[in-house]
Amino acid sequence: IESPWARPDEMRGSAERLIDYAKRGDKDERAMRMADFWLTEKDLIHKLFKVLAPRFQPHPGSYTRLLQIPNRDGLDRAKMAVIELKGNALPPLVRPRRDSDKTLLNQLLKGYRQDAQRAAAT
Amino acid sequence: LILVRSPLPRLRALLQRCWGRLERGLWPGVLGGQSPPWGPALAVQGLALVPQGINDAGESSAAAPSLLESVLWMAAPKQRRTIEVNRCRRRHPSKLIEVKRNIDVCPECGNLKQKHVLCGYCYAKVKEETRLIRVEIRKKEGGPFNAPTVETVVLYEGEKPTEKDEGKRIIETARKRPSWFVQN
Repeated sequence: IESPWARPDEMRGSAERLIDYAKRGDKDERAMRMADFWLTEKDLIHKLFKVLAPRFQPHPGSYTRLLQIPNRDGLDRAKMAVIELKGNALPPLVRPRRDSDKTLLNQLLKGYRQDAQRAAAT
Repeated sequence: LILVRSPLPRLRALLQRCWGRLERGLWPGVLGGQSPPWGPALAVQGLALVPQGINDAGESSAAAPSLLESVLWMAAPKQRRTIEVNRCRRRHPSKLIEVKRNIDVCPECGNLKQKHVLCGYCYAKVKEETRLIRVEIRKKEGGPFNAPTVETVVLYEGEKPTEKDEGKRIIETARKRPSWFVQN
């Protein structure tokens, strides 16, 4: 979801709190009441408890990704941000880059690994 | 002055003479608070002592408001600011636009981007692709309030669901998979 930066920033905290409530479990009375109050579209409560809670069960926190976008093209040049839930099926916003193999540290590590293999082989 | 009846006839005559002088403007210093050499007050003698008349006289004759006695009206620069002084003011560092040193080249497409911001071109590509997938989702769901209770997976042309995509809802599009969208 793309929006001026302030709204996703505020929404992120509330969304993560809601997911924490949902993680408590489907049978939890408090969690169900919270979800029922905050989510006005009732089919999303089912999605929350059946899809999002199991998806984020192994993660301790930070279920959302907030990234800044170039300023809006209109007259106001507003600071825009895009927010997404991690693990979604849509195309990824940012591809994580790994360091190239030719950096000094990686070359040294490669040499160390080769030495260790040679020592283990002999 | 008119209500004073008790004083002696001499005092009353004196008061009447003073009042007559004030009326005729020969003694302007008492009421208006203006200094005697003030030209306009002498010129407009008949109206000078009536309170509304003072304001009108002040505004019609002199440019200064009658409430103030001072000569100067508004602040104005006395001398032209030289170009050297103007340059010093206009080129002060606090007035210049700051130089941005956080601009880099995006490794994917080669456009320029700020370090903490996403690349505009790559984001536009992702946004368009997401919009097309969302159109497909909308076609599949049919209407509002139909959110699925299972995960979703997107398959492009000629792709089969793997064992990892067991219980998921499948969204199929008849397009080629973009190179940057890696299938897990």
